Amino acid sequence: MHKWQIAALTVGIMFSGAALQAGVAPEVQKDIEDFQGYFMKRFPGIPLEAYNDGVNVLPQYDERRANWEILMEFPPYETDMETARELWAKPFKNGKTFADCFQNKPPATKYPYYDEARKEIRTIELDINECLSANGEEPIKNLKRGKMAMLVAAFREQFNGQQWAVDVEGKGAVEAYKKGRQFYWAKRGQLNFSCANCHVHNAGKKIRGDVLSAGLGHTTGFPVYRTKWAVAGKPWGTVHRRYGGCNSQVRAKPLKPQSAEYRALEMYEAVMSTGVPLKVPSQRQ
Amino acid sequence: MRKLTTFCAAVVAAGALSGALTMPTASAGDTLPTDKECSKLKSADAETKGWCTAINRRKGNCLACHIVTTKKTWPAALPPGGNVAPPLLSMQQRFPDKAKLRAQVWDATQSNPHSVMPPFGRHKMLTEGEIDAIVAWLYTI
Repeated sequence: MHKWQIAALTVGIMFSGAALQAGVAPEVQKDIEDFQGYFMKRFPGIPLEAYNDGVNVLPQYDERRANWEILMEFPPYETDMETARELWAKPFKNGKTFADCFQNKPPATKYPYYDEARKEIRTIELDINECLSANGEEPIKNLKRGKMAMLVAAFREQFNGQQWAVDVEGKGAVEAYKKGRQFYWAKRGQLNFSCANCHVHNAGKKIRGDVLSAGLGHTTGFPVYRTKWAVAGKPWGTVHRRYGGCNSQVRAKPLKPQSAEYRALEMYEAVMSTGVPLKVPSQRQ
Repeated sequence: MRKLTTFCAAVVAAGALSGALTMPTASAGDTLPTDKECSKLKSADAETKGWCTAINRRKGNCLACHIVTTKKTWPAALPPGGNVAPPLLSMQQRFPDKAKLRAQVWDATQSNPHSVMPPFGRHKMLTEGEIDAIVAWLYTI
């Protein structure tokens, strides 16, 4: 290979790398490296890309992984996903569709994003409801489960395999990100646990018979079809539904879905999983 | 490494001690009650009260994080504990000062700020009496 070819190839690789890379402030970049570096050291041999399988990827889950793999041969969410895709494609009364709205929005790999004009974090859920309102349709009331979760899944799955790359550049974005970081590392509830206590410090450890998942890769597979929720007939849940459950379990007051706090937390978790390819939807225990 | 040595020493000490003591012969009465059986108990000694408080998921829920070794027979219906925290064994040897053990249950972050153990006393998750019962039971294992 000629030198110029190598140079061209290198530039090409750098370029494609740059396209995938998130635009983040140096402080945020350091956080990502620290966070991901911790897990690379803790679970050597598991590549970054594999973390989109959640707890199933951890060596401590080996004995159970076979069951999950069998389940994934005919995933329980498939029938619902067909409905979800129909919901996504179904035109509004005015003939427009969700796709028309999201044409002017970032790809799912850039969600949630900080809206400089509105000075707030925008999630897919918020933009779905905005799209409905803008087209004279009723916004969806339940932001935790059911139809909303399925629509988010139908949008996100279109970007499956693409690496997550949320931007955190401007002052407002960094401030919002820091709120999420604070939430993640702060002790909470009567049980006095932070998110990090379980999902960073004790990831892979057993809490009774269950394995604590790694914080890295968290939320890449959302919305989820969860076996625990399926028992009550409502298997679909958004990230914020899960946050509410987590907060209740540590005996803290769960916050409202789409609250500023949960959106900030969602942003922090997304940023920590920069580079992990989306894999939507996912089945979780 | 020092921790490991201390731990091993404790295990050895426990082994020696339990050998020296006369081990009660196993009978149906020596099997510890399950959570369900605990709720049906009309009266119980301090040790059993402590055990019941420890395994109750709404109380101590110790098994969420700790594996426990007991001299009495473990109930077959009760799964073993998790491994987030160190196993509970030879507590008397590891905590010759009972007050220190009690302080650990009351608020483990006092002795180790990085501990993730819920502060059962400070956050009023257990009453002072329940903590006493757990400590009394821990001294028997």
